[in-house]
Amino acid sequence: MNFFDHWFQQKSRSLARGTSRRSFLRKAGVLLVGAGAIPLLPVAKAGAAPDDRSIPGDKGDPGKCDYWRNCGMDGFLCTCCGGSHTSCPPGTEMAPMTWVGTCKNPADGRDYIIAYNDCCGKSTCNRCMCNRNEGDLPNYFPPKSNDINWCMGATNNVYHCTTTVLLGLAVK
Amino acid sequence: MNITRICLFSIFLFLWGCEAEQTAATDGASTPAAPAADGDVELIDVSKEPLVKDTFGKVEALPATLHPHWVWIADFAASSMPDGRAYLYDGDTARVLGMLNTGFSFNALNIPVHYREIYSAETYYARTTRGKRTDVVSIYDPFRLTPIAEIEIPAKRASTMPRLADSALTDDDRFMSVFNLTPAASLSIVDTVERKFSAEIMTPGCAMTYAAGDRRFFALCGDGSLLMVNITDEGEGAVIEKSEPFFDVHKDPILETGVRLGDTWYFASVLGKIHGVDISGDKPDFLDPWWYLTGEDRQANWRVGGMQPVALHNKSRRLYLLMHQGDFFTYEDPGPEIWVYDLATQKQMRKIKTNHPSISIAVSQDDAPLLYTITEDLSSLDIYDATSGEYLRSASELGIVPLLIQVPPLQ
Repeated sequence: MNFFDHWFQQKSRSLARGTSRRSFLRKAGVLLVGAGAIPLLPVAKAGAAPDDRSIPGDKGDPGKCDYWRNCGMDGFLCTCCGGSHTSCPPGTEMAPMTWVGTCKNPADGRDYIIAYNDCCGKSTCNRCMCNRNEGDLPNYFPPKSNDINWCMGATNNVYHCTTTVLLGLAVK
Repeated sequence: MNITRICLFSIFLFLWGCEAEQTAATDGASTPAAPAADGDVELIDVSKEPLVKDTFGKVEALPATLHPHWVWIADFAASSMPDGRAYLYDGDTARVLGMLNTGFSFNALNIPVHYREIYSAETYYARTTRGKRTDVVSIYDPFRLTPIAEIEIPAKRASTMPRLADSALTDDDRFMSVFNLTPAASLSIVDTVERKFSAEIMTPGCAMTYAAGDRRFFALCGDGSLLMVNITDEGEGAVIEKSEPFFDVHKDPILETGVRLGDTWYFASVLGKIHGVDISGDKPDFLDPWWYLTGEDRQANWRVGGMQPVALHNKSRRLYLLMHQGDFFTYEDPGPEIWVYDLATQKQMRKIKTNHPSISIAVSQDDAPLLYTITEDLSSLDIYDATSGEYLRSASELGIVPLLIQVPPLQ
């Protein structure tokens, strides 16, 4: 099946794309890159992620595009590629940097910061394409852009799939 | 034993028969009628000359004149990213004229006005997906569609969903800039005449590259400002100056697809404004933004969107915007309508309802312009009369993941 056929078929517009997220992102942008500064570095480090098994109410199927953490997704879900929503498939490498979004967990009504770390080193997985774009900004604002191949921070930048690593609660 | 002899004799007869037939065809002699298997006789029309043997090894070359309705389709090949390509179509017939292979994470070509060469910023790995990475600007013969040279550049080329503004040529076509993101942002400057890499220029906090004169590019910045990058005649960095912010990145970002009329670039914003940037002076002059959406349009959530959602016919000053209904973060979604504006009066001229929702649009620059659209399923290049909006024809089986449309500049 054509890559983008799949993309658009799986496109989910069912979840609200809230203004609260944008207001958070503005705050997070200031918090993470410094007031008034132009971001030079992406804002999420994979190694800094907490153990998200301690977060209650993480319901849903990470292999589905409408899974709550996928609200800012633009890529192939690693769950469908031999990895999981928090781990890369065998033989790939998790890119150390990426952009972060904020998604609302329907189980507890809280907003969480999600890092969309790419897995790299093999060509595109081509399974479970998901494109939802909530919180995505144009490429001149890389820390909020999901149209950038974040494998640039890995050993090589061949993109394979994308994870949704939970970094913590979003503070409003 | 007997069976073996019979078999060998049968093989000999078969081979001899083929040879005899080939010899006859080579000599141009008529082939005798052969009895059909069931005993009937097949008739040969001896009044007609037999077909002439084809010439082996023939390879097409394009007519050495650029036609204004030739159009390049940049194929990101997302399902097999090391295999990017660009297809050349004839908009008058919807036929493919040829193709270029353009490497991993292909964005788009850079097509000079002189059209004696085509440039392409490309990335390659020695073992397709591993091994040494090499980034180059490839130079292609635009009529034979063959690589004729390459210039190695720093292996830092940005890999993004395709954007026309990931590389650019100066107005005199001499220097090419390639957007790098490692994630440090910079431009690689290439001298296309000397065929050499000339400099890397850091553009901290700013991304992509737009032509702004013979020795100047600009980049868009994360705080809503613009970075002017002047270069020397040697292609090295000169004065680099950042402007004041001219749009709000978070409340109303502009889309990366800019169009240029003379010395003014135009960008459409997500909420419905056109931002003009006059680059004729030393510093950019930001024109007063104007609403292309009415209050009623905004109420109904009409939104510009797509991968390449803005186009311009320079001579008539008609601006084409790909439109759909959706909320703020749908500005990359396909649209079922194309709204046409007169840049001079800032008034809407017409709405074109396309046969299928589209993801990208472009317009040829001649006096009988064609409007090209890539359909949302990426299966078809649909072609319309850009003036009347009338549907004309389509090219199917467009590519792997074709996303951008490139109209060569008018000569």
